[in-house]
Amino acid sequence: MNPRIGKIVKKVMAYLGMPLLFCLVGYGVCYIALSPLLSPALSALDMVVSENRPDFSDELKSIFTPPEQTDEPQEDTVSEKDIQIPTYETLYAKLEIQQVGISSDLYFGDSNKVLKKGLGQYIGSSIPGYGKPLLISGHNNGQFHKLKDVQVGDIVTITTSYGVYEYQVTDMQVKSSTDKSAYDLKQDKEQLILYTCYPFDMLGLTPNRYFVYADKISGPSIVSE
Amino acid sequence: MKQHILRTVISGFLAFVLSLLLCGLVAATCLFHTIFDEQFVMNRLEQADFYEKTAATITDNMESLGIPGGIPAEVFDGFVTGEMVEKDVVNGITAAFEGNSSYQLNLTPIREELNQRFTAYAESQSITLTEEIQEGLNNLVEYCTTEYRQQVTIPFIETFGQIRMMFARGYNAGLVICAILCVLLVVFLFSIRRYKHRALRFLVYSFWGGALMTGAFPAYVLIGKTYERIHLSPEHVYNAFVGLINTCIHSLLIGSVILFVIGVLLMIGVPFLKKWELNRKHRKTE
Amino acid sequence: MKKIAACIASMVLAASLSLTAFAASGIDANEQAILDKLNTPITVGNQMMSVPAEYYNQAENYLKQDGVSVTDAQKTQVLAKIDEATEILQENGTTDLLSLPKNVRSQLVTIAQDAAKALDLNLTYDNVNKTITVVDKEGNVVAKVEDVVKTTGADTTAAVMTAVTLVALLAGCAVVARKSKLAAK
Repeated sequence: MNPRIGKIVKKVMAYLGMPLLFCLVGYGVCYIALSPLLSPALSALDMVVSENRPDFSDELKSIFTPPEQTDEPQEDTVSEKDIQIPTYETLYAKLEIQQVGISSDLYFGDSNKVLKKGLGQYIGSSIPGYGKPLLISGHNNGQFHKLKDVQVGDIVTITTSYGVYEYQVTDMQVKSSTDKSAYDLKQDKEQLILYTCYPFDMLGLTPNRYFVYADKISGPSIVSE
Repeated sequence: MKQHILRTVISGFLAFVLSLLLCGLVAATCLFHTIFDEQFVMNRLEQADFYEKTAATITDNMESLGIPGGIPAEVFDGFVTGEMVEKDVVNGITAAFEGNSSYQLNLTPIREELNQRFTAYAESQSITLTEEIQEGLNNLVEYCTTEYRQQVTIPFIETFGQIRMMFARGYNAGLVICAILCVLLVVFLFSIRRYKHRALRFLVYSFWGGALMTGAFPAYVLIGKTYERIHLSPEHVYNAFVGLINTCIHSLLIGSVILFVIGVLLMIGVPFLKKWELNRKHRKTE
Repeated sequence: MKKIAACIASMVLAASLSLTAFAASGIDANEQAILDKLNTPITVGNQMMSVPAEYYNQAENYLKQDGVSVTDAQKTQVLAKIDEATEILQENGTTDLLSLPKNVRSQLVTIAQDAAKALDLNLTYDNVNKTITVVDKEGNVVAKVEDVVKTTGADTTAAVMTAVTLVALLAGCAVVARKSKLAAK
């Protein structure tokens, strides 16, 4: 190679290589110096950064398709493979109490966004068919305004895409929102627990809630294959 | 030969330290004139219509709280305004930036106004305010007041303020010390090199190294858009935050470009300096 | 007790893969092993504690979803993380999160975060409701640390303390570490 060209190449490499080397070593030095602070800071940052941009839309998803109406009686069981577990803030069923005229969409999740549109199920409870309790809330001057008129023996119907479930009201109670005896989410019984703020037509917020308890009387049990 | 290598190594080390200082100077200056500058933050919030949007969100959320409490949305009309929110947000930011950890939002006017409105509504509906109802209304007032406080408090502002205070304490002195050190390093670099154009070359490495250090990480963050995945809500808080970070990153990139341009100018000067030295050498031999 | 359980339950949820949910796939052997572990009470100090039903149910609901399954390696990792957290609680002899030293609380949160990250879930802090939420890669909420009974939509209660403490703690550690360094000098 021409020595002059060789010199030029050497200079160009130096002009490119040296700053790059400085940058890499500089970042290395900063990392070593700041590493005791970096770890907790990154952990804290991790708790506020997710994999995707946040979604601010008011739209709520739906997986609810009313089952076809047939004259044939419902099966006693439904395969787990044929059902869809709803995700948070998803419309998955319809709840009706015909005796008092309650009919509302039922969402999985009980955030503000959901309760503005319908009834919300607490995600720490189970969906119909698993033989475990369901905990559902609604506004006392909205969808659950007529909950106060529900009587023992009334039927609550939850229609899902995979079956129709009926629950018979067994009890009503007024309890504090912090009273853990108001619900038992560990029980091996499919108990439906509906609640709303209490008193119904009173101004202001109280710590009391009106609970309605109902036991399952019909609907397919979900079985795994 | 050994002396030449030693001189090169020392020059390289000095150039590296200079590049670190340049990067630090530019980065600190950019940060202090963007996210660490109170006026800058408040201007950005105003530009993003932050106060009005916060007021709208607070009103909306209070109306949601009013639903189970039997209070209709009209009761909250005109209660929370942009000016009111601006005053409290600005006070909160100022307190955080000054490291005033004892600052407390004055929520008494909020409580009083809410109480008045709820009482007026009850009277308009001919509802007798029994003890039970009054307690219920007091609870609602507290929930609404808490909602107001949560919305006008910028997320993580206290922690941010603490970080800002730590840097602010050392910023001015640090800036002067860095500048002096830079000058000393340049002088030393030139003094140990017999051929000054070679010292100038090392200076170019410093500026370009500083440019890379200042700009590489922000460029990576800007391309990866990590900050857009921050889990902040509601939407106007998210937009304000992303806007601030965006501006900060752009200012760092501009700083990086400035360092690079200075390096380019210095690089252009190298052959001229070399020529001048050669001429001077010839004149001396003559 | 509830707050510690929430952290442990979060780690369990982090054991699951995050794929879009279609039909339910049920609980396989590895998932059942994790759920059984959660259901097993442990002794801390002179108290028996177990994960509250609400968090266990959230874990179970998520693991039932199709596309969510746990490999043997993941099961081993999650069970190890649960054991690690259990050991820390037993060493400190308390289930009250707020009474634990700062570094211990930080350790517990880091264990939960590491487990979540390794398995494509993320522990996130909801700044509006001031609660901790577990989300999958798509940003869907998988579980929440929150009160069971709400004010029909609004809840500003004890769960808030946990989340605020945890996040402030992690951020504050950076400040504390720096102050300690300066003090040591």
